[in-house]
Amino acid sequence: MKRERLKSLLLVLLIVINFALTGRILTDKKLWPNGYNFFSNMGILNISKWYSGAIDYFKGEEKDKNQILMPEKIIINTGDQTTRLSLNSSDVEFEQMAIETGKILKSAFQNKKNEVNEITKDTLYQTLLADSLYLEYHREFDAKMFSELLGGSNNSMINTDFTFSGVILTYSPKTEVYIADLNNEKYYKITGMEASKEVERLSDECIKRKGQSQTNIINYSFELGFDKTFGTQKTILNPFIQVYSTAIQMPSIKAENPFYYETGELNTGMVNKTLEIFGISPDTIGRYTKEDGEMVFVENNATMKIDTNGYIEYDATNSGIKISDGKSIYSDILGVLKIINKVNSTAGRGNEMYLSGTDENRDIITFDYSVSGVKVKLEDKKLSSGVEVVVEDGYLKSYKQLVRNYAVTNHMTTPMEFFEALDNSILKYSEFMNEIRIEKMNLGYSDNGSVGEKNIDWIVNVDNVIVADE
Amino acid sequence: MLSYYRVKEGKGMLKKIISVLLISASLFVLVPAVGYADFQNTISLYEKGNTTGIIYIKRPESHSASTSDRTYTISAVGNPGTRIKVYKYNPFTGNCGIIKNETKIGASSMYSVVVDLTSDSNIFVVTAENEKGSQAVRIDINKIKKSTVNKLKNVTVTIRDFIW
Repeated sequence: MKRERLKSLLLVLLIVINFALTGRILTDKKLWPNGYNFFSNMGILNISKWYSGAIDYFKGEEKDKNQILMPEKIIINTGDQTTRLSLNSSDVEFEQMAIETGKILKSAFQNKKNEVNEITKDTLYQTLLADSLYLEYHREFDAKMFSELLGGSNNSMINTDFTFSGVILTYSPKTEVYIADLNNEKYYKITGMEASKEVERLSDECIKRKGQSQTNIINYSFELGFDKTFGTQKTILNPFIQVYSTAIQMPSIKAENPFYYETGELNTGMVNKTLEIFGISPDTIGRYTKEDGEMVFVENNATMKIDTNGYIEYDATNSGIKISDGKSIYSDILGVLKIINKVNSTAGRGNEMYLSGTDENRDIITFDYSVSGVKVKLEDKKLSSGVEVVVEDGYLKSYKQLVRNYAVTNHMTTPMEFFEALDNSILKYSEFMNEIRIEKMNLGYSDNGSVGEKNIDWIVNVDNVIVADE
Repeated sequence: MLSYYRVKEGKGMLKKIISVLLISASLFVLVPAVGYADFQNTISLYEKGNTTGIIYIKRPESHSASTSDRTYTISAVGNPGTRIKVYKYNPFTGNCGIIKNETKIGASSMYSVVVDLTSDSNIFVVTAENEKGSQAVRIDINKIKKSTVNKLKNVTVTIRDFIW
């Protein structure tokens, strides 16, 4: 009896081995011509690719979520100006730190058990002079919008209507969030969140890694007293602007139009893939080319234009493309990001983009490029943001993008020193102004929409100019 | 003969008048220039300049501060075109040597400079010059231990403490 069982087991094993080895020979060795039979197509199906694709999809979803509220930079305050650090997305710890701080902020803004108290300006400033983090965002938010963009609950626990573009976070000994509403000169502290050891660990790691090589001293404008005028001083800096002691050397970038090869030949593969992203079949679509070389694709529900400079424009003539449930700005932005990231990865380098604006009705959403954590200020004749979209009730109605690949070059450039750049930027107002307020001043790449090399420069955002009486 | 001497005497007088005029003119030009003369590479700790109100020190507001840090940023505001230099007091020579060369204040009216704190007591002199005159401001930065700074941060002094 035992012998019979052993025989049966051996037989089953041999059959299994037979199928496994035969399958391997048929699929891997490709003994049949392609497209001829079932087995060679099985090789094309490649189940492992499906699996990794599914993983990538979910990872991508998570990445998109993190991308929505990614800060422009994180300043690690150590209590000393000499060891104060500035991180951006080119630093290895940045993304993880942004995710971890995002968790704290989500809890701070959405957990009703937390306490929100009004504090004095000096108390808030003191936190920046001690161990803390300052998260500076690309744009201004109101508390409700900020809370929505953190995802999860749409209800901000903070009912106060205030705006800010930066958040201060302390993590030791207590986890607290500080916010300055500069429009109303009110300052708030949110307490009650759980301590995050991970944020502390990441901060310590950065200080260890970058602290020794740090040569540029960073001071906040308020530390130096430049946030208030005295005597003949007409310039006022936002208190959180970081003043750098020396010039910063950075590489230039090269802007490439991915729709054309370097030889000047049209990349038809890129054109077709872009059409497919917008649900347009390149094989069946009606098309014509204008005199200036702009390609126009027309179908029943939409038109798509691709010009010779890499500018694409999708306009829905019907309902548009369903990109979200339309219930929140968060889901709309997430839907738009998926399309943006598809276009950018099709273009090649998959450049980073950040949310740079939303209109009052929350229909028009803009995104801009950044390269190694440094923003690209676009001033193209057709578009002043990298991407501009119109979303209505979860449907994408219009999509405009100047599609670019930005490559970092080996050419190092040194922009002007902080005050030289500031002086130059306000010189044009100085004759007639009584007072000028500078909202933001950061390094960035200016792009006029042309291809080629772009040097680093200071981007100065003027908040207000008070003109002198005649 | 008499007329010859008169002409000679007249020429001598003319020379004297021209000399007086030249001396007066040079005095007129040079005296203010002496007042605006550039501060040299070494200046006295007690240098004050010839006027005030050219530069206003924003940090440290009281012209003295204590810190545990290795560096300190001095900030100031002044009229555009004002020339600024920074000196550090050397106790061995008894004078102040230049540590930051001349910088002109631009349209923003703002100026800041990072100085190294190499000893416990660091004395700096910030000089400013423009068409109104010259000014020198002494700034004292003391280096203290980090623990002392933390203790000081925890001390709360209210006006009431002084009243009672």
